[in-house]
Amino acid sequence: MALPNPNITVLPTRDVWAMATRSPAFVTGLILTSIILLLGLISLVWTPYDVSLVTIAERLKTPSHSHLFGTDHFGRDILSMIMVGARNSIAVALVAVGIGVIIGVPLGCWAAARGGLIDASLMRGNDVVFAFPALLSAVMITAIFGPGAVNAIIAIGIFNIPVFARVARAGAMAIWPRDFILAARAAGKSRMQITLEHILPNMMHLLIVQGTIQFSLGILAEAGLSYLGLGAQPPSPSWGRMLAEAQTMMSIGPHTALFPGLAIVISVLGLNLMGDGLRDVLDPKLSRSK
Amino acid sequence: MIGYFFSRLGLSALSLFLASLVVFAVMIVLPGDPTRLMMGISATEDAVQALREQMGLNLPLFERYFTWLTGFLTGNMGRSYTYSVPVSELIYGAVSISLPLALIALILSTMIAIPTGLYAASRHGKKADSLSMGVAQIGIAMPNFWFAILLVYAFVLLPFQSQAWAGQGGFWGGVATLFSPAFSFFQWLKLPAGGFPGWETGFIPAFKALILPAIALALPQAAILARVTRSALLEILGEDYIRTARAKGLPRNLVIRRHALRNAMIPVLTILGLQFSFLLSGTIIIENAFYLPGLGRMVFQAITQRDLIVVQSVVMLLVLAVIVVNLIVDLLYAVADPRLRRPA
Repeated sequence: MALPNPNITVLPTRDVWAMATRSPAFVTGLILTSIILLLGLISLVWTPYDVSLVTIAERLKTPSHSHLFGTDHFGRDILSMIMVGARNSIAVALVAVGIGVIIGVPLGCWAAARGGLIDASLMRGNDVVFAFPALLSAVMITAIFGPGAVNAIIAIGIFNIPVFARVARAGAMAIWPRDFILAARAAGKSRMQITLEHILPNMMHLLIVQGTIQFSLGILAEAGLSYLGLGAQPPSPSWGRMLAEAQTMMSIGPHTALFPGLAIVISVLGLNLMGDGLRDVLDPKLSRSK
Repeated sequence: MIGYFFSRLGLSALSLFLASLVVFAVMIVLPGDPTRLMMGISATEDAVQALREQMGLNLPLFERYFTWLTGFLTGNMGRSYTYSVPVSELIYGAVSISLPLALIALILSTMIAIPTGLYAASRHGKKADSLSMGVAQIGIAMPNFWFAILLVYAFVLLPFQSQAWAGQGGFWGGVATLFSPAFSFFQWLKLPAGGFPGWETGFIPAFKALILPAIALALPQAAILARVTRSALLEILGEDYIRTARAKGLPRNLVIRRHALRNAMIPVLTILGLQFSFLLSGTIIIENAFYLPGLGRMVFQAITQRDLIVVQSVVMLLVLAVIVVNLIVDLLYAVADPRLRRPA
């Protein structure tokens, strides 16, 4: 059903940024995402406590001055674990988006440039991948190759490939019939040159919007996998596993389930708001209806 | 229309065939010999070989694929390696939990989402619109297993714990007194925090066990659906025929109900179809969170136990379900929008 979208606009990146920063949704999203990014970055050099420091005497302490978010059932500092977990979530989701872009975008551009049999078979392959519930396949992949952060990245990344292929194909198909492409062809440029010089720069914003969406889905997927015990392995902290452990402690330490969940919501919400803000700016049809 | 029907049917069959090849291939490359796992490390080479022959694992790949596929299509899916019972029996038991769960979640999410989207669109640009869409954004960002944990806390643990606080003063005593009617209602409801008593214990206890999981599954779906309903409606409300209907003097709410909602159903239907696959994914996590022995938990356990024959059949069944639902959605569009009947 991926009909080419006739409303794709051609905008320079600088203008997009100027317009986006005027959208409240985009700015709110940017702030939320920055908080999580900053937490992850700071954790590279400093955390309030060592995340592997087990102090049984301090177990299940509620939030206080010495432990802002309290401690878990091993007496580990929850804030420190969330900071290191942020790094893990961001890394997994970011690399997974990278896999999708690096493989999916060239495939989509290729399908749009050649058409015919190549296009049809690539799109059929896409449909087959879409028929597998994504999380189910991710569970299979991590179970086959063993649980861990690297395999979680691969499992999530594979499902980003058809998504980016579809977006790139739809974007490219909408640009190919334009007059300036015809001019480039008349000037004797090859399809490859046209794709690199004209098609890609003109659909960059589509890819950026999709990138933020897939980034947020990647964070949710990573959390789900590590909740099932298939993501980053102990002692390396991850938000999903913190919640899985908190679930068994709910009757004595409900605070342990609060902060990791909030961290997931803030990062996903931030990215989605950024994506929405960008889309409002870039899709004139939607902003007209406002 | 008939041509469209058959071309869509053919494409779905092709996808299904390709998917079956993928599922089969994955099972072949999966490390770990199932016969070794079944017999333990002390089994002799001869015994392992005999079991391999008995299970047909020594046959050529093509023959194994063909036997598996025909078995799958006729409902004869072999016996589980771990439980030694027919796979079809396991699947039947699991579907009797997962299907009602998915249906309740689907009904719940539609019941929440469409009125919310309609309300937000009719109050477009006002506070109520921003508020409901803000809540929807949070619903989308919330991982369903975290929501599940919070639901169990609010409906099961907190009402129980609050009894101890009720007499005391202070913050928690205040909370206990303030919410005491709700807490006693939840205590009276006695929703289980997890597990499934089985349908044979009666409809009410079994249904109760599915309520919290279904709410946890429905929330993110409802949030997405509400947003789609709202934006589809807004797009249609800008069309000329809506202005004509308004110019004729029809009240705004009547225009929305009679003209806009019906046309907005096409994108809503698309998302409902797409969400089916997400719903199946969701059951893997939610059934684990609530210890429900449904399809999602079964396939998760089968994967970790290397019960390949179960994994193969369940994955294929889920893929079949996704493809069939998408086919139905595609055909429904053609009914709703005659322009789509022409071959692309």
